[in-house]
Order: sequence, then C-alpha cells, then structure tokens
Amino acid sequence: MIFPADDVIADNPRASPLYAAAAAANDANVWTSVNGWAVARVFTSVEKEYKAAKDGAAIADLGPLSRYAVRGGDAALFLSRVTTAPAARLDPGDSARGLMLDYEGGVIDLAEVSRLSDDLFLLTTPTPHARRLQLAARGLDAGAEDISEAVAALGVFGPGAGEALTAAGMKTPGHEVASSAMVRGVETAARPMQFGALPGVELIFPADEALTVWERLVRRGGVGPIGLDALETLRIESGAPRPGVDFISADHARASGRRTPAEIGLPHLAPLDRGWYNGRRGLRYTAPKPTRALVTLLIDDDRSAPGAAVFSGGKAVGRITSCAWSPTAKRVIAFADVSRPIDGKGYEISVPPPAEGNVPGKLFETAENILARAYLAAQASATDSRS
Amino acid sequence: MTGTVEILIIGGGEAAYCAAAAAARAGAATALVARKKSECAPSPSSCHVPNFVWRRLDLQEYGLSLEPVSALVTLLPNGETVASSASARDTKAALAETGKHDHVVWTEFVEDMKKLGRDVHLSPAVGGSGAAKMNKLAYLYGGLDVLSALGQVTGGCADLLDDYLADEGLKAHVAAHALSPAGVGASEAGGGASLPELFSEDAWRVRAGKDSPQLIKTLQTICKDSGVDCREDDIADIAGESGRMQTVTLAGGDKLKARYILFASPEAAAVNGYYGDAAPLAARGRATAQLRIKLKKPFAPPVADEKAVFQIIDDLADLQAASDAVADGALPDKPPVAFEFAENGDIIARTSYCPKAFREDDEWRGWTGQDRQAVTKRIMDRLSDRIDGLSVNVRKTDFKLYGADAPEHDRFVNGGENIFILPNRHNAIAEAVKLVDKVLSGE
Amino acid sequence: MSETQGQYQFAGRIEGGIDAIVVGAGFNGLVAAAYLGRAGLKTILLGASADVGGGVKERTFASGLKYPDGEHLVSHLDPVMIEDLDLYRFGLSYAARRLDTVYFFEDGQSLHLSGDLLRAGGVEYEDEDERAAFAKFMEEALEAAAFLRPVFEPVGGDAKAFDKLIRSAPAGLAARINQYLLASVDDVLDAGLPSGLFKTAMTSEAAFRAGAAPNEPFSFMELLRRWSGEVSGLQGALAFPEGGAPAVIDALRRAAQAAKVDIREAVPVSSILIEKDRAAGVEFEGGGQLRAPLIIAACNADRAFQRMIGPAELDLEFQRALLAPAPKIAPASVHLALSGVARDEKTEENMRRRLVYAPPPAKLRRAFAEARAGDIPEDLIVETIFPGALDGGLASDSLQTLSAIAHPLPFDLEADEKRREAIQNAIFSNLEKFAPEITGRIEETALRLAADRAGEAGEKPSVFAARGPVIRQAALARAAAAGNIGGFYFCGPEAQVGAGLSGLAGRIAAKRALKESRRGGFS
Repeated sequence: MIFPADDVIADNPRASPLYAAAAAANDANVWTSVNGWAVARVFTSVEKEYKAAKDGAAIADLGPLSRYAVRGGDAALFLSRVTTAPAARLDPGDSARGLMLDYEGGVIDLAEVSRLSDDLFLLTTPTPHARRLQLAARGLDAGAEDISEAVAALGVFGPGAGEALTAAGMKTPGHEVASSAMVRGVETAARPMQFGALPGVELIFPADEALTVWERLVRRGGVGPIGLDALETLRIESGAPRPGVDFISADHARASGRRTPAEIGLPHLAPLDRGWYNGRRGLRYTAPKPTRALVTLLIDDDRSAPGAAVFSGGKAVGRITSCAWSPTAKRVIAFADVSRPIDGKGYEISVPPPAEGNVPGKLFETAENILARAYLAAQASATDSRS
Repeated sequence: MTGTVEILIIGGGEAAYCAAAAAARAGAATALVARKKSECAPSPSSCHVPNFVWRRLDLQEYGLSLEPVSALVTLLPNGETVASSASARDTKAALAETGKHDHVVWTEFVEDMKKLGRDVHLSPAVGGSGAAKMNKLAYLYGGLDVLSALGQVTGGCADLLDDYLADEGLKAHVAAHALSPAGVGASEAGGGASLPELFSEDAWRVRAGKDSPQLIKTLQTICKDSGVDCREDDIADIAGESGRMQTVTLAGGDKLKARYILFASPEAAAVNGYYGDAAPLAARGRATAQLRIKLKKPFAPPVADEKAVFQIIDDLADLQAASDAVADGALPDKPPVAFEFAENGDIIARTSYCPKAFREDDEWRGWTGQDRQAVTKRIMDRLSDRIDGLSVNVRKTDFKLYGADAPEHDRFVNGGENIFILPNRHNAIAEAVKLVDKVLSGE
Repeated sequence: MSETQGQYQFAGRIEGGIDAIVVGAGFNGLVAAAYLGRAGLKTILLGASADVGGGVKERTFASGLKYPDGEHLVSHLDPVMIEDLDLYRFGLSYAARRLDTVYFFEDGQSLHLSGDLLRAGGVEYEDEDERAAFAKFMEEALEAAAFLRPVFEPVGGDAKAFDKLIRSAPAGLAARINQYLLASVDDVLDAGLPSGLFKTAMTSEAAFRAGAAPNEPFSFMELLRRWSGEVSGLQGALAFPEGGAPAVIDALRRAAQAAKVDIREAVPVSSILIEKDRAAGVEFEGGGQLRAPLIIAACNADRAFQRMIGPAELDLEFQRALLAPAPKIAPASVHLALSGVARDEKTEENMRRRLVYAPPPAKLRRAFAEARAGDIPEDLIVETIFPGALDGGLASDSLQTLSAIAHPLPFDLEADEKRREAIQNAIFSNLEKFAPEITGRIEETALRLAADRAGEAGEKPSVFAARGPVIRQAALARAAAAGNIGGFYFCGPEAQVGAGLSGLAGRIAAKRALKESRRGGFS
C-alpha cells in the first residue's frame, strides 16, 4: 500500500503508536506529516535504508494509512461496490488490490481489500474515506468501522522479511494468506503485501502493543526502519502512482485534473469484464477516451524536480509529478503526467535555472507496466475473438 | 452639499468599512453612509479578515492584531455541551472523546461543506449582471455533483445535516451556529446554504488581541486615511432608474450621486427600505435583541473559555419553532440565544429571533416596553438555565433592539443592476471585498 | 387472482421476444408505453395493482354516485404528447377548458379572475391602481413563466442551448427572472402587489400544494411553474376533462392498446435485472422473468432504484442525489355529495368555476408552520370544483358532487379516526367560509389523505407529500435522468417537476429509449 501525499498544512502532526520507537531509532530526524500523523522521512540515510529493504528486510510504520474493518451480511457486496477490488470473489485469506472510483470513472484513491474470515474484511486506503463508506452502506447490510486510531500497523518489506519474522518468533500464516491470530499473546492480523516488486507482510495489532512488537522485530529480527524517502524510490521503481502526488483524487480535482484508471497506468485494477463497481458504467459509457498517461522515466540529471516541464518533439506535453534518486539505476527516476500518445522514444525534461536547458528522459518498464500491458493485451484479444 | 462617487457603501459593520476601504484603495471614489445607531448588533467578535483583505488594507500598520475565537460552543439542556474548533481535526478528536460517533465523518463533512460553497454559489450579489446572472439556472445543466449540490443548498439545513450526522446534539450545535445569526429555522428552504458559508475558510470569527485596537475602529481610520467620504446619517431617499446613476438623499439634506450602491448587510438594506437580491439567509421581517449583562463578579463559562462564541438551544426543532413564531409576528417562547464575553467580562447575549413587529388580533403593532421586558426575561431565563448562579450575579442589564425600525413597505432590488445587497453572514468581509472588486471591474 | 398474474408467478418461467417493458402503469407509464408501442416496439406495460392510472380513477360513494378521484383538474397535459399519441381521437375531450377562478376571502369579499390568465389583469376592480399593478404583475409573471418552461422540463438538456436561451432574454426579463429565482412569494408580491385582494389571492395560488411556506426562499418559482403549462394552447389555463382525470387515463389506455401495448395488471415486479451494465429484464416475486433490452420505470425512485435495482448496483453519487427527503407537508382531498344545492342561475354559474378559499397571507404562513410541526392548521387553502356541474355525465338528479383539495396539512404516515375527523373538520370549516351551511347538506364524504393513496399503491407516503422548492425538484428530476444503466430509463414522480398530470416525463423517457434502440444500443 502506498502512502498518500504529505499534508499541505502539517501543524502539529499526531504521534502514531509507533512514534516513540521510530523517534528513538531516528538519527536523521527528518519528519513529515501524512494524514495528520508524523512520519519519518529518513532514519539513517536514504541509500542505506533502500539497500536494506532491497537486499534484506526493513520495517515501516504504516499507521498513517486508513484502515476499516468491514462486517455485515452484505460486506462483500459493499466492498465490491465501493472499490474495484473483487471482494465477493475473495476467499478467507485472500487479498486484492483495487481503486475507488467516482460515478464518472475518475480515480479517487487506491484500495486494498483482504478477507480475514467469512464475515470480516479489512479495507486499507491511503486517505480516509469515512463519508464515502457511510454513503456506500446506505441500503446495504454492511458497515465499515474505522480502526485506524485503535491499531498500530507495521510493514516488513524485502526478500528477508520472512526470515526476520521467523527470527523474531512472529512467523504467522500471514506470509501467505491474510489471517488473524494470537502471536505471542497479541491479537494480530497479518497479510501478505507487495510494495511494488518487494514482497512483504503487514502486521496489524492493538495500539497498546505497538512498541513491544517493534522492539521484538528490531532486536530479534534484526531489521531496521525505513523512511518515506527510501520508500519513495522503491515506489517509483515499481511504478506505483502516489495519490495526491502523481494524480489528484477525483474528489478534489478540477475537470482537467481528473484521471481514469487507464490514465494513471492502472487499467488492470478496474476491469470492465468483472462484477459491477461504483464508476464502472461511467468508465464504460461516459468517460472520455484516455488523453493522459502516467509514464516512468529515467532522467540523466539529478536536478530534476516535481513540476518540471516534459517535452516531446519540442512541445510541452506534461510535467514531472514525482521523482527520486535510484541507487540501482544511478539516475533520477520519475513519474511524469504526459499527454497521449506516449512517445516511445522518450522525452526531454526541463532543468531549473541557472543551468537552463533540457535533459533526456527515457521510459523504463515497471512491475505495474507489465501487469497493465498483460491486461490490455487480454482485453484486445477478447475483443478480437468477439468480432 | 452634493457629491458624485463611483460606489456608495451603506451600512455600519466591519464588512461595510472593509468594502469601502478596499474600494477606495482600488482607486474608486467611495462614500460610506452609516447610521448613528448601527442596524447590526455589535459583538465582541467579528467576522474573519482574510489574508488578501489584510494585505490590501495593510492592517498590521495600524497595530491591529486579531486572534481567532477559541471555539464554537452550544449549551444544550441537562448540562450537555458540544464544542467545535477552527481545526476540523481537533474537533474530530474532541468529538471522539465525548463519545459522539459522528467524529468519523466530521473532517469530511467540513471538507464537503467547503466544496459545496465552491460548487454552487447562489448568492445573487455575485455572478455577473443582466442575462449572465441567470447563470444560476445553468447549474441545472451541470453534472450529477452539481445537481446534488444544488439540491442540498436549496433544501433545509436539517436535511443536509441528517445526510452526514446522526447525533442530535451535534446537529443542533452546527445548525445553531449556522442559522441563528440570520434568525432562520432548520427546516426552511435554503437553510442548507448556511453550512457552506459557516465552514468557509473566511468564516471563523476573530477577536481583537490584547492591546490591539478594535477592528472596527481601525477600519474607520483606514477609511478616513484612504479618502472614503464617511458620513454618519440616515438615508432619506434613493432615486434613479435601474442601471443608471442613483441619487441618494441623506436625512441631513446632502445629496450623493453614486454609480453603484452596496448595502453591506441585509439589515442595512432593510432599515433603508430595500430587500431582495440576497441569498436565503437574508430573512426579512426580523429584528435582533441584544442584552449586555454586567456581572457582580466575573465567572468562567461552563465549558471552553471567555473567547468562545456560545449558543443556547434545546434541539434542532427550537430553531424552526422560533422562526415560525417570528414569521407569525410573535415572540418565540424559547428563543435561541447566542452570547459572548466582552473584553471587560460583560456577557453580550443576543437573539435574532425577534419579530420586526407584532401581530395581535390580525393587527400589526410596534414594539412596546412590555415586549422589551419579555425578551429580556426570555434571554435571561435561557442563560440562567445553562449557567449556574447567573441570576444572583447580575448587576445590571442593558437592552438594545436592532432592525425593528425598518419601514413597512420596502423596495425589491431589481435584479441587481447596480444596487447590491451583501447577503453573507459568516464570511461577510471576504464576500464584501470580492463583491466590490467584481462591481468595480464591471463583471 | 387474474389469469395473467398466474402466468407469471411461478418460478423459472422466462418470457422473451419483447422489445420493451414499462414498469408501473400510472400516467407516465401509459404515456411511455404508448410511445414505444407506436414506434413499433413490442411493448409490455406492467401494473402493480389491478387497475391502471396510479390512483387516478373513478370511485363511487356508497349511494352509487360516481366521482373522479386523483387529480381533479388538468393544467400541464403535455401538448406534444397529446398530438403524438392522438389522444383526442382516443376520447380525450374537455368538458370545460378554461375555468375561471373565484377567490374567496376571510372577510367575505371575493375576486373573479378570467381563466384566460392573459386577460385576468383586465378584471373589474374598484381600485384602479391596484388593478393596474396586478395587470402588470400578471403580464410580467406570465412572460417569465413561458420563458422558463424548458427549466421545468425533466431532462438533462443542453447547457449550450440553455446558455443561448438566457442570453436571448431581453434585459428587463432577465432582470426579473434573476429577481424571481431565489425569491419567496412574499418577496415578489410585496414588491409587485403591495396590498389588497390580489396579493392574498396570488399568495394562495403560489402556496397551493407547495412544500414551502410563502415566506421561504425559492417559493415564488412554484407559481411560475404552475403558469408555464398550457391547456389547449392557453398558457396557465385549467381544464376539466370530460369524465374527469380518469377519462384522460382511459384515453391513454386506448391509445396504448391501439399501439398494441400488452397491458398486464396486478403483476408486481420484484426486481429489475441488470446484466453487463445494461437492463436485461424484470423478475416477478414468484421468480418468473420477462426479458427485454429496454426498460422504463414509471414508479417512484425509491422503488425503482433502491428496491428493484438495488443499492449494490447504483453509483453512490447517484443514489445520494436521488433520494432527497420530502417536506413534511401534504395536501388532502375530500369528495362530497351534497343535497339541496340551489338551482338558481348564479349558483349554477359559480359551480362551473374553480372556487378557491384564500386565507390571509399571515394566517397562511402560520398554517404552514403548524402543518410542518404536525398540527392541523385552522386556515387552509381550499380549491373546489363541482364535477357534476362541469360535466353533465357526472351529474346526478338529486345530489351534487364537490371535489376539494386542501393545503397545507401535516404529512401523516398514518392517520387514525380521530385525526381524520379533525382534518375533515378543518377542511369543512374553511369550506364554510365561502359556502356557509354547506356542512348541513353533506350526504356523503370521502376523505383522501396522502397516507391513503400510499397505502393503496403500496408506496411510501412521502411519495404523495408536497414537493420541495421547484429549483430543487428540477435538480432532482435531472439527477434522476442521469442514471447511466444502459437501456434503463426513469419517468417516475421524481422525474416530473410539480404535481399534476403531465406526461412529459413519460414522453421524454420513451423518446430517449427509442433513440437508443434505433442506434442499436450502447456498444
């Protein structure tokens, strides 16, 4: 699950249950605010944290994300309505990614749905959606309880996540399937998660136990914390757009800023041939043909910044929405919101003064691109066979 | 003496002086006429001064410092209280603490109300002139969200609150603060429009800080410094065809010719015999009673502090019952009462739920001394019910009535060609200055 | 149980080969079905109850005397629909085309206005200034009402065309419409008709059957809506169809049958089937199905969307926009059979008019406040007609029928005997104000409340409550048309702006459905 944009006004962010632990482990002391919670951007150094996650394992406080426990006879129907995730098809233990769309098919937010048991689902979203969930429950036997404040959440990322958990004595079935269990006397929900291409596990447990669990993982599991900046690099590498940064929620965007799933590179998360969800008819009938695209670029210059103009054939076609230094590629990697069609040859990105001019940006493929392409190919062949 | 001005502002509140100063600073020949006795009940707090107005008028150069009121508080029966603060997040936390389940949607409710104000702007004072002003009807051709928003602002305040909130106390709290300045009921059509106004960025009330001059005094000084022709007089007559130069005769005999006339509040228009061109919250035929209560010894409010704005009602239905009584020309049995603390510790209590005139046996009659006593008693009863020991702590009360002297027959502003009435209550200063800008730029 | 009903109640039976299904056999359902049938579509009209017309029907008193129930006058019958469906050929005719109105006032005075509103300003009146002000007011209001007609239509429409329209308005008219848009009845009348009987009459006219009191914002638009309709080419006129409103239903029914519409009664639909984002058919309680690519729902929005389609298939934004709470006020109608009514010429003449008791504005305001608070007001607007006098076919030798609609009354979910009696007495006492001693002549009484109609139709009473501000209704109607389920169209009461028989919503839904079917549906 992806963090949403930092808060614009970040006065006096709240301390999450893991704050004390995170603050103690924080040498760099660079913080920001997300959904009103304090989030560490850097703990030691971005590069170190990045490497640890890539090669071993790292833990992150996922408390600022919004979490809802969804119960009721129509819980699956409710989730299938409010998100594009196929909740009704999930067996206990399954998880699925999806989007929240408005009735015209504009993307409001990302969403993840896990079925913990027959009658209990867990919905995770980057930003809070209490009102939308309140509306969605109208007429249905279902309710979403906001548990964000009551729980602490930890993500353990990287290829060594499983080992670290085992070493900490916290290995649960949550590696493979979403489940809830008593772990060391603490009621814990765990579910497998992907952070881009990185495998991981998300642990959710009562806020009171936050520090115990963190300590156990750090001491026995031998993992270090990872901050938002390093996560940002991992995120862009994997091709996952960040709400509020790479696209603006359809709830807040002006007409020109609204994006459909295809326009943020996630058409596979809102397939037209699966059960109904809010916005599907909008996508099918009324949404205009995609005119924008979110592309990932490798840029040969380390001064690029969000907002920089992107050119194609001498014409301005869009702007950089987010970027980060990739220690792997030794280049800046960036998301750019550009007009369609995508220029396969690449783009030029303006460089801020004093060194005015443009530098080349090359498209690179991400895990998300591959999924999208596979989906579109399947769609195309389905259409062919029909006609 | 006669004079010719580009814009004439009529009214005596903060919004009037802000509008006049802004117009003068924009280079327009400006005059302001305020009555000797203000038509608006002055209160210890005033409407928020948005940054763009602050910068335009260089308020810091006058040693002014304003601080936001600490909270909006509603004192409900049986000791129940509800409070909200400028920060939606803090309010949400406070609501959660008091066990009100609605805290989960509070921040989004506030956000949605702000958005509603941006989506649909019904106030006819703003939005072009002539045929272009009919663009309010164009909302009917908008998307589902605009249609939905239009339905919400044209409906009652209670309907809109029901759509989001479940807690009766919280709904009563929001409605009281949204509606009581205008004396409107919770079921009345158009009351929904009060919520986007209440939650707009420019609505949170402010008080002069310690050692700061009063906002209104500062604004008067700025008006003088900026060359505004300020007069204290009554308007005797406004003559002129719609869309043409208006000739304004003052009670003192002076005449002013003005290209545009802006009434700075519905009250300012009403006392001068004008109405219309105002949004739903410009309820007509109402008066406001204000009671200044000097105390024997100072006391602290039951919740929050002296810098909060308080409302007293029993429930949502109170507002409608009071509004209905007023429309019927009677005094409500239980008028909703708002109160604040003055700098010197006095309680300034007020109710906008007073009739302009009374109807008895199908005849209308004006206010009498008995009516004044009756309102005073009802306000005191409400206060005493919520504040322990108040009745024995009162040294002196001072009663004032505002808006009851409006003439019987008034003129309906005709489509607003060049006479405007500022309808806003909660974000009056921001709207007044924006309106002046629009008028002067000919939009 | 009818034969048709039996056919559809057993599970598993699926009938196909149908082009279109109209759910709900009320006025708009009949209109929509007739349109589809005439276009050559094999159309089935499904009524939930045993008779078509949605409560507009002929009833009989215990004595056997007949009276038309439902609506008692028509003012907005869609002229395009009448012509398209050839309703005159199918028996529509008017017994009276432009009913004059006589307003009665508390102090015993009365005011007689021509049924041709354009001439109403020419009324003889003692005070020439007041009359001139009234004439000017009528002229201006009628001009604005005619201009605003497209605004009261229940369709999304075209923003550009509308923009052009408002820009084409003369400056004076534009200014007036700006004035009218948000104004209350009081606002406008205080300015235009400062005093006198005209003001009282027009206040009642504007507040009649409205959900908001005349001092509430937006309430003036209701009067413009009322006057935006036309009957046989006459703007704002009121007509009494021969045989009453039920005869209009009969004409429509014949038109639909002539268009080969298969009308099936007493077959309540339990759900509308949606497959691949398109309407696919309907399902009956017993499990049987009818399948068709076009479905038009002519029942109320709550039933059509919340119950038949189900919330799980609705866009949240749509569901929220559609389900606005109704005002807590409703009109009630009462039908009386009177004996010993005088037969003199003057009485006979008056009985061929529309008689309205118009309470003083101040008392009317109080009445709205009381009704909203759940109390029965003392003062009511009472609109009265004498069906037997207007239409010889409905007359009886010994008894005279009277049909009255009273407003504003509290919106009751249920009314017990005591409450009914209180409501009835309130209506009678207001009737007495202009027809003294009428209560002594009453032989039979039939009181019809919103709750009665709801109970009969199996609907929520709120469907029969007064409607909110016109501008809000228009927003709602347009929202209702915005649902984007392929092949599904809605023309229930929420799709119509204002009360009364119109058929515009049915026509528009059918036209949109036909356009889609000709295009070959959504791809």
